Amino acid sequence: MKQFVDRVPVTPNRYKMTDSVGNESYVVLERADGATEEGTALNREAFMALQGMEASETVFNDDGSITETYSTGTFVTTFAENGDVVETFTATQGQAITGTTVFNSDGSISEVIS
Amino acid sequence: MGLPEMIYDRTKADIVNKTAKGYYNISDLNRVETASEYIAALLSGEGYYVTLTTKKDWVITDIPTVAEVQRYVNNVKFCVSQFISVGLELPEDVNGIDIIAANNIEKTLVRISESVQKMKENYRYCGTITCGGDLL
Repeated sequence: MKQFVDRVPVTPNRYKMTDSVGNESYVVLERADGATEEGTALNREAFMALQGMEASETVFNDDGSITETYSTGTFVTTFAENGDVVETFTATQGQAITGTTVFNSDGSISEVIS
Repeated sequence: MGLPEMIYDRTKADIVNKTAKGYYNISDLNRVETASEYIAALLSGEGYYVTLTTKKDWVITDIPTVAEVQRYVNNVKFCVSQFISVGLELPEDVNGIDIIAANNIEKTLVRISESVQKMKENYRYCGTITCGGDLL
């Protein structure tokens, strides 16, 4: 388990610039790219969640599937008759990603992301 | 719900002159309990998980027990321990609550709120870091 903490600045996004002759100045940089999607913060909350430290509710369904509910969406694991394990995460915004684990006849395992 | 307007400018003159700030009463208790709960949620939302027991409905006939006041102080101290020190001394126990400690309890919650805001302003987001870890 890796401990992640965030930087806590007194003056966020402030940088010191030193020109080629050694003159120093301080600037505050901010993005001005007109982003239509801010993106996911790369912070403690995200990195600890990547290590499994994320709140969830798990339900073992009557059909044998497992539903895990997170604040960001729902993760469903189903076990197909052919032995495949299908894991689908559906975000609260609607985007979905599926990982299928296939146990091949030659003993190898394939992971297919779709 | 945001952070309530906290009081951390009490002085000895308030006690001597018997101003409202010179007394510690249910409005102070309810304000700090409410603020502690707010800060706990704020920190938890950023991955610094804080779960507290609070009582936000103190009434004038209530008499806080030693354990309740200890919990009240410990709530603030737990927020600090789960996040970062904000440079203010907090009382060890109920006996340590004087005018400075009363100010520090409330100012600590304000500083945590301010620090979280600055921390969030400094976050980097997916798609903003290029290969090599350039943070600009």
